Amino acid sequence: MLFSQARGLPVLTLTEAEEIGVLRSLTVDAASGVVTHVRVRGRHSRKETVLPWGALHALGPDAVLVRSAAAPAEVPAHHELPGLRILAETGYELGTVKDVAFEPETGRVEAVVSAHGEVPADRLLGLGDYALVVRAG
Amino acid sequence: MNELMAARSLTTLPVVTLGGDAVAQIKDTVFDAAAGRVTGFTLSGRGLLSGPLKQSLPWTAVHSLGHDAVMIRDALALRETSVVVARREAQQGRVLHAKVLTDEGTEVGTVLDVIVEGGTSGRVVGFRIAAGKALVQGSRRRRHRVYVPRGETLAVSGRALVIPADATRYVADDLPAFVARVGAFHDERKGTPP
Repeated sequence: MLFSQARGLPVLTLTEAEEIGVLRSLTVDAASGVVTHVRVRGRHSRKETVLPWGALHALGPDAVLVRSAAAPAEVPAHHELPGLRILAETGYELGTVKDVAFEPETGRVEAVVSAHGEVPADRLLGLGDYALVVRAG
Repeated sequence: MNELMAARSLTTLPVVTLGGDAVAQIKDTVFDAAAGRVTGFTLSGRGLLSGPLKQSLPWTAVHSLGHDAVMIRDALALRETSVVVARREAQQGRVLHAKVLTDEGTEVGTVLDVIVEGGTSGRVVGFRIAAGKALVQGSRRRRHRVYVPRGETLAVSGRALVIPADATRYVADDLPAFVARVGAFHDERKGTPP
């Protein structure tokens, strides 16, 4: 699945089928190459809620089902991947992130899609406010 | 060979950690006394209104010098400026605007910029100079800016630096051409017996 496909999906609680909002973005930990949190924005309140990946029951093609809507105790810094510049560790720019492919079952990042091609997840080194740093391939 | 870069063009290059955070940008490049390699960079903050930083970046902490960024392992690599650039003012003054002489005693020009190799070496490979009459024939009005490779042994004093006479046969008008010339220059030097 791609980030662009996941974005905008309605997020519902599994037990009450109550819609808490739509999926806005996914927070990635570059070092381990997994999606750690999802960000959900309320349809009316516009309030953003952060949910840990573990709270998700299923991420399907049409909806996201969550077990609990409780916010985690600690929320890591979020760096929006799509649109972020990609830097090789040698200090050369490799374009910007167009999209991110990930496994909806596990949250494992498969590849980062850029205009110059795909960067496999095992080349990701770090993700910060300036760039996504990748190992030179 | 890695890409070559003019030291002056490094100013405003972002300093980025492997974690992807930009922590500063380059203000000035600092060379060792013999103008043989880069020893570090002074830094300024990122953004329009930020001034020079108290901390500097020693070359030993550089992960790689690239076309778009200087990569460092983490922000802890930055050091107090006094540690990185003990005699910076003196050295900056020494290289830029210094006279360039060949070891045969011909003055070929004055230094405008220092050309360094990207990547992890930090080597100085040559200079961009305002060519004198001895090097480039023609009218004075057409002031010529050319690149000359540095010799293996290069003498730098207060006001002049001395390059091997045969280096002047490998001048180039622009950086891409200079890359090829530097390679040819070093190949020939290796081939000739000392």
